[in-house]
Amino acid sequence: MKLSRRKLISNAAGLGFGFSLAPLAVIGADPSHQNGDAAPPATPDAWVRIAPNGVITIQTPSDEMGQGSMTALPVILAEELDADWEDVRIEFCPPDDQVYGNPNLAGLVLTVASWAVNSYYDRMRLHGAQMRRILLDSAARQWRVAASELHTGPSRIVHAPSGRTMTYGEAAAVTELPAQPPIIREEDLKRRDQFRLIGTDLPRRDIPAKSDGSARYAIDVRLPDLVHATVIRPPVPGARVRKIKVDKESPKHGMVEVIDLADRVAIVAARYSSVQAVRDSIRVEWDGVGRFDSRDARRQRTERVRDLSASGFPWQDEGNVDTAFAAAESILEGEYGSEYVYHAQMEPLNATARFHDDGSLEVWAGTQAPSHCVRSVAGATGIDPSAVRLHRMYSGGAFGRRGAADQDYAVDAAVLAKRLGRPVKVIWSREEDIHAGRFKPMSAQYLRAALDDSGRLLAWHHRVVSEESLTQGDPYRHGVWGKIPITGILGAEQSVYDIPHRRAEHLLEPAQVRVSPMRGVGVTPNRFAAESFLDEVAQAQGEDPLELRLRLAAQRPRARAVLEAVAAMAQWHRPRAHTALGLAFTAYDATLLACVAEVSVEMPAGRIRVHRLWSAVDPGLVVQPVNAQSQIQGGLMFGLSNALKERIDIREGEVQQSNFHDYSILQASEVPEVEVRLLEGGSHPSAIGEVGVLLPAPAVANAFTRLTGKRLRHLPFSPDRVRSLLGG
Amino acid sequence: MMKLKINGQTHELDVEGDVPLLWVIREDVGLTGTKYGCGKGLCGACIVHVDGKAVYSCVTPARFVDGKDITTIEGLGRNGEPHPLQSAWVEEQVPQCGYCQSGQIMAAAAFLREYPRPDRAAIQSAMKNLCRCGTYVRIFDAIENAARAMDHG
Repeated sequence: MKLSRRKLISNAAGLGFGFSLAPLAVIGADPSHQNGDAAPPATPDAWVRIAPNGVITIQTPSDEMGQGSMTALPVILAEELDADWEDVRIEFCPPDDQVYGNPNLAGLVLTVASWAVNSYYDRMRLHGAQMRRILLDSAARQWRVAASELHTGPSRIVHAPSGRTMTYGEAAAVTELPAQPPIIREEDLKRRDQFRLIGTDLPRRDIPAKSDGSARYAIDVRLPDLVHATVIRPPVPGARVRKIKVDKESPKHGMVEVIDLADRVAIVAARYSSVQAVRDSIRVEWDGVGRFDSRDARRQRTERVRDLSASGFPWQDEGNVDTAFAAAESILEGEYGSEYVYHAQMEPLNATARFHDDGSLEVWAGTQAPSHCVRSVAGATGIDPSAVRLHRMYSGGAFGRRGAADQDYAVDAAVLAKRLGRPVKVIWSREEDIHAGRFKPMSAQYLRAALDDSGRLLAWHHRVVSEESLTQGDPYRHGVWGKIPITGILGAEQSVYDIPHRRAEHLLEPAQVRVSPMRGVGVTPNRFAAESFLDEVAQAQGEDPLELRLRLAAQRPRARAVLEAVAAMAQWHRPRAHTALGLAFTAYDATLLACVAEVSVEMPAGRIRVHRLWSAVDPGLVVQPVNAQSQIQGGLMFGLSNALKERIDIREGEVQQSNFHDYSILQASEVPEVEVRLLEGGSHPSAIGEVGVLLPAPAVANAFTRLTGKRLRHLPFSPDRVRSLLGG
Repeated sequence: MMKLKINGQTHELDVEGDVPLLWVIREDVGLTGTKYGCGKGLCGACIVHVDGKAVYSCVTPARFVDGKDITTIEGLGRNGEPHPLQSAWVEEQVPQCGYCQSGQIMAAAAFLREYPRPDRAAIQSAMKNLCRCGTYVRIFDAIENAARAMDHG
């Protein structure tokens, strides 16, 4: 699925780009004609335009949900264009998969899986270099000199022999796009030591507006004649409205309309506060809710994962695992588990929609999946996708929740706008956002390791039982990817450690509750289990956890480098009086990282106190160092929050949590000291946005064991679990 | 009719007194920097100043603030200049998704007015606002930097 860097460049350049302006209409409702592996036809002017006044407008395919790639991607293009960054304006690209689709994400305009900068890096460089070449060729014709005598400086073309210069704006004014885009070879691109923008601390473009209140999110849209709404969903997907009960005490707040949409109920009023007041006085009864209970699911999955007579989807199977276990001198086993987790993006889901007299539809939404959004609102309102105009707004957090293919919150607005014949802003209340949340799946994990008579690790076997979040979250992508349980099993593979016989398998649970990918996907519980279990192996052999990992990574210099870096940062071997350190390591995409946590435990409260987190990360090449640091710091906080606190319980099909009082996330008073070090061990960027979340759980769990002798086997490490382990 | 003085400007508004201040600010006055996050005074995205004190506008009925002096993120700066906290927020590159940051800045501004020279521990225990992106460490740094700048200014 992943294209090598060389292949991407040669494919894109060799395709013979059609040179009409790129078609801006979206593709049809059925995206099945797309091939995620084909580099799309594209023109550099679909990505960058230069106005005669010198303003350079770059299209960014990425959603801006906090991760900063809205800025990072244009930086890459501007680098090869040799643009003055001050001249650059950034626009969100149209939701056109054929021009802007992500080659690593089934060809969709989609921002997920930390795959913006690494997936678009070559393409942004290519289009920047193409546009620069077009300007150079044009200037050479103007001046009647050889293009080889020209060079560029920031946003200008220079003919050194004659001393003539021309700004990019002046050049663009007299340039016609050629029929064929210029061929760019790798040697035409800048060398790393020639970069002026990549790797420097250019500030993110979205930050000033996010510091003075002027940044515009979908929830901030104001339109004439706008009404407000919320939508109540059944506890589980597929249930139907049986009865809507309105309290007699229902407050009077002007005109309020309650609309039965069969599988959900809408409340509409002029003011959102009226919607909320009525929402509190309505109870909806549903048919088909079922009796799903997350405690039963946990028990059942725990039993299933242990039953080695049933094999699962073979994600990794190298060497001969069965033989190795049969011949092993000793076998260790470990079981772990995780609960449903909620995205908890700070901006509750919302969207605004307006139909026009000509039948066209405008939608304002913060979305990770703009082309899915256009198809979904068109499908739900019976119009052609070409009649939809999507305004891509800043997302007030997303973490995967805004990437679901059905784009439920945007469809709510479109359906109501059509029905009411006026513009509608739908805001899910926080309660609704949790109640109808689409959670990170619950997992049960079983691991066993085979050791030879000298204690060497011979074989590793990791089994995961969970739902596959893409079955609901994005059935299209799930299909393109051959229906493998990718988000459930990712991270259970052993790709770095030198273990001769390795197996990772996934046992699929049908999704009876709403699930979708969430930041870190299954890698979080899977690496929690694997890295905790590796510490159990180290403990059984009386080996230092760092030394064991360094030994297993002996042939991997970049992996050793991050392990050694984090050990130095944390002073791994220095004894602590009342705290303990725990270590964890992982690969994700091509990124390698390690994390050390320093913890103590407050008894009898059962509270784990994390004092410090250190992380060393090698994401290849870093485009924006300050932002990369921020992403990893933030990811560590997100992962720590998941590890210590977060859990969704479901009883009789109903989500039990309702707001931040009973779904608690990390707050300022719980924040440890954090130190992050970036090591650039490669020539191409790899994942950053998600990697920070992956390791706090195993690092904290391993520290806890070194402190107390007991092992935390279940996420989250809530005080009740800590107390029952420590007998408090 | 209700008279709300917001960012130095008086607005005469025809609003029921039990409508939360948050929605009056957003829907009637049209200032959208103050955010809805939880509706229950739990997350802090809606914090504004009422007579200089930090208040959760999502749980404050408009009639409680009739005639009082209300400041939102849009009115925090003075004479066209950003508040030192806002400058520190940009300098430290604090925001990620940014949605909680108006509330963070307003909470920090009210805090610094009372405790102009806080240490790190005081900042950590005073700041109750939630940030899902986990920008906390940069928030603490920015508050420290702003406090120093205000002390010298």
